Amino acid sequence: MNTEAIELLLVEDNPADEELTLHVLEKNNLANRIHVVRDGVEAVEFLFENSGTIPRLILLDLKLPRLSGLEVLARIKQDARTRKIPVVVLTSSREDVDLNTCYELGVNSYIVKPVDFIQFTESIRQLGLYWLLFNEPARAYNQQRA
Amino acid sequence: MSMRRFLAYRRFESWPVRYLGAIALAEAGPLTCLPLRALHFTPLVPRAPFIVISALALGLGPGLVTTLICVVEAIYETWKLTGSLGAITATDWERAIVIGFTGVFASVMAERLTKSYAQLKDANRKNASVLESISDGFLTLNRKWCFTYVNPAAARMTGLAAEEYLGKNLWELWPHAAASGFGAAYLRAVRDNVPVQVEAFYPDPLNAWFEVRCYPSAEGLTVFFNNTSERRRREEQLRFFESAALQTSDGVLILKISGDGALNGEPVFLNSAFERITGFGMEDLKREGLQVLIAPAEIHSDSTYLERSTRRKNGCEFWAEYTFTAIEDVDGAQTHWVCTLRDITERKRAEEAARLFTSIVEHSDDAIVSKTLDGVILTWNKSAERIYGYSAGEMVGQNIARLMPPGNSSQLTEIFDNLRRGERLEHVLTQRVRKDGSLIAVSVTISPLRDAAGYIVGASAITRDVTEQQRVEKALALSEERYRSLAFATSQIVWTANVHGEVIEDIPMWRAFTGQSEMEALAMGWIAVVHPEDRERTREVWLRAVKIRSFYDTEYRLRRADGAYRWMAVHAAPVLEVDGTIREWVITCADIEDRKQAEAEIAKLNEELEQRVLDRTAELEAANRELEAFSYSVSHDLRAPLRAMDGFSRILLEEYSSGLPEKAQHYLTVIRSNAVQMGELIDDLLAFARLSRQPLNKQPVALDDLVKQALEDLAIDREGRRVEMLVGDLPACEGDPQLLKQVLINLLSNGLKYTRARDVARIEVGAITATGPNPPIYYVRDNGVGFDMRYANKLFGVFQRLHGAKEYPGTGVGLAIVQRIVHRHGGRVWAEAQINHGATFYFMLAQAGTKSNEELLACSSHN
Repeated sequence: MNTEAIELLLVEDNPADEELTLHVLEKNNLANRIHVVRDGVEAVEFLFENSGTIPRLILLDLKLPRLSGLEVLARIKQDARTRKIPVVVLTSSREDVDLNTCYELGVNSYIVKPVDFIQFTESIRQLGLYWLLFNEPARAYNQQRA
Repeated sequence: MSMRRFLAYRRFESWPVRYLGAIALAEAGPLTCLPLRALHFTPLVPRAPFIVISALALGLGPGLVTTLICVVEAIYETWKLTGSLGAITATDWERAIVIGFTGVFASVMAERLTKSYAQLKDANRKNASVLESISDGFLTLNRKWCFTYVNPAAARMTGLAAEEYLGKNLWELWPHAAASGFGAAYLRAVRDNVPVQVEAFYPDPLNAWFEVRCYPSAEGLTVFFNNTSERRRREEQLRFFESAALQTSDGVLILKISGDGALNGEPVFLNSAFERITGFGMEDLKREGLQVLIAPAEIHSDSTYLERSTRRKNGCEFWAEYTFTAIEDVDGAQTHWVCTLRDITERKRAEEAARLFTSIVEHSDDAIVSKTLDGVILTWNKSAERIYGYSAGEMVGQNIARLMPPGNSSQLTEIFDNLRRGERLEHVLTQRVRKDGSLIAVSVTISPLRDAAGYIVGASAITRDVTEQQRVEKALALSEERYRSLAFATSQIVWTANVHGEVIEDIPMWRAFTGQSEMEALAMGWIAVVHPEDRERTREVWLRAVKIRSFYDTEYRLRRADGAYRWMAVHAAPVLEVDGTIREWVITCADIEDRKQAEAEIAKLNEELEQRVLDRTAELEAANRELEAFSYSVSHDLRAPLRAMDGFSRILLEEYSSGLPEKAQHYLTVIRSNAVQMGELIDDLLAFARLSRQPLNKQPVALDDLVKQALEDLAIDREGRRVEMLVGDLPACEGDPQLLKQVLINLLSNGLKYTRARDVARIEVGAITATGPNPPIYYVRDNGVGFDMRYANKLFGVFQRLHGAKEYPGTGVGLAIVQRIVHRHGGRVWAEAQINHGATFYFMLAQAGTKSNEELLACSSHN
């Protein structure tokens, strides 16, 4: 039951960004069941070691301690159990190499965190609306198969 | 004579008259005897003369009648006188019988005389007629040599009338007769009283040959003669023909034409030449017919000419020329064929030879021209047409002088003088003029032409165009000279080897270099001075090259005379014959020891350099990696705090404003705007840094399109403003379209920014196209506030600003980016301005005649 409660997994090492993100999501009533992990290792452990913990959306920072966001993304997209979870990379990096690598690994969306808070708020709000409300996730059929 | 006359006058031709005459004469006896009765002759005696007269005059019958009457009357009278028959004396009976027989005898004799006279007379008449009509001339001369008779033929033959002859003297009428054979014959005939025959020529006016037969006679001379001129002519002709037929070297065969006119008739004549030529004699032809030589069917017409290969009796073949001619008799009927035969084998051979010769002349590669001693061209072959350009039609009959180069007529005179002396000119190199006027070099051989009698009647000239040959020879000589010079000039050893790759002649340069003797180097001996380590390989490579006839390039160490081994570069090339086979090899050996050492040195240096480059590259790569990591960190880590500053300031302002004094709210706002500005600075700085790392993607670029795109991107900056955009002709250029668009955006946004104070902003984009190799200069001009040219050097520095941030906000990176991009294209950017009078930014993408920095780098790295 606990696993079902998880709607959104936020992988973010910067506490300020975490707080701001959660603030926006709460303000917009977009995620009641949010789990936050603060590095890549934690993220991987959360996803693979508590088997069956399948969030509807993962918001993933790239620059993470221990295991980088790219590595986390790779693990998610390589594993049949987690492959279908939408992953949105939320990062400060505009570097081409990051963008390209993420898309190659199968990221579902890549958002650059704006410095301007108004813009940031808007980004998070739209992102939450889209992926949590409008987007239709993969079904149980696939889970059984997996 | 009197008797003949008497008989000639006998006119009593009719028998009643003659018989009456006989009776009358029988009765005339007693009448004439009446006066003589007294004499008592026996009654028969007076009658006897009349019996004879009657027999002679009247012929046999009347004579017998007269005799009978007279005998009977005499017996009657006697009976009457005596009265009885018995009384008649025996004498009387005897007398009667004698007279009776006399009468019979006389009658018979007279009859025979008469007959023979008539015959004589007839013969005489006939003789005269014959003489008149015969074609032979006939004349008689009396003993005084006067003509007594001349027949018409004689008159005709001599051209004088018979009347003109008669009575004339022979010697007077025909004065030449005495001196001719005729006179001698006449005189001899008369003198010796023998017939004489002679044939002689009588000159003027007769001019004819006569055959004369003369017979002496009692009267004088009888002469028969004939004009034999024609006969003699015929005979002579015949003799000639016969002689010709017999003596001619042509075979002559005459065949009788058989009944059906076919040519299978019997041979009637053949001459010895015919037999000699064919081997067939008369007997052979009679036996086997003409078909042993030629098929009779081939003789078609009255006169047939044939050339046939014919088989001799002994089986040999020869070429025969046959002529068949039909001979007609006087009636026009063909009676004989005359076949003449000639052995034309030689002629055929000569014709064939002539044909071959003509063919050779026609197909000769050399011009062959014959000419008279006056230089008039007689023949002109194909090659002459080709070499001189004149056709035979143009040149035959023309003078050879036409071909002489101007001012060289003495040569021709000399040539003909030589020819007249029978001298031959061989392979004289000279010049001739072609039809088109060009001079050609020729080799001429001129020989005198002699007629059958050996007289020089002309000349034949055999001319070869040696222009090409001379050129080739000259080139060859030059090439040989060059080769020799090259061999001397070069420090290389140049030598030759035979087709098997063996040295077969002395190589002084080799001897000098290696110290080997000539003998030591011969054949494969040269390999002994090759370094032992290289020897086997050298031998293999060399023998393989010789075998496969390819070029040979190798290097080996060669022992110098001083014992030092020197690296040699060896090249060998086969020298080919025209047919592609190898004649010999030419080999060069160059001492490359110094080069080798230099190369080793260079290799060593290169190796070191490469190591250094590798080291440096590693350092640079490390630095680069660090730089990337740095900008990555900047991009990540510098922005997060800013976002926190801005975010939380904003949350404070929005959610806690009620508890904050106004001043605090203002400060929060300042914090926020600075955080945002810091974010922009970081973005620009990262963009600027990225420029250096990004590879330049050069391609043809239409700048006017880029201007259009840039203006679209800047649409928001122009909103609510009056902006006059002038875009001139922008030549296309070579560059990275992405980066060039950034240049334009930065320059245009600059322009828009600094014209903000103007009612109507005026921004002009254009190009100054220079002539020659210089690239165009592009510019962006505005009517904005401009700047002080004193600070122009700071214009393109990072974070350098010439205007207050409050008035004209910006990070001061835009123009730095512009400069960086333009520099990366190998170009240059500069600006001209005046305060308050606008500014113009110029850039060009490549500097005249130079390569961009990157291209230069690319070049140097390749080297």
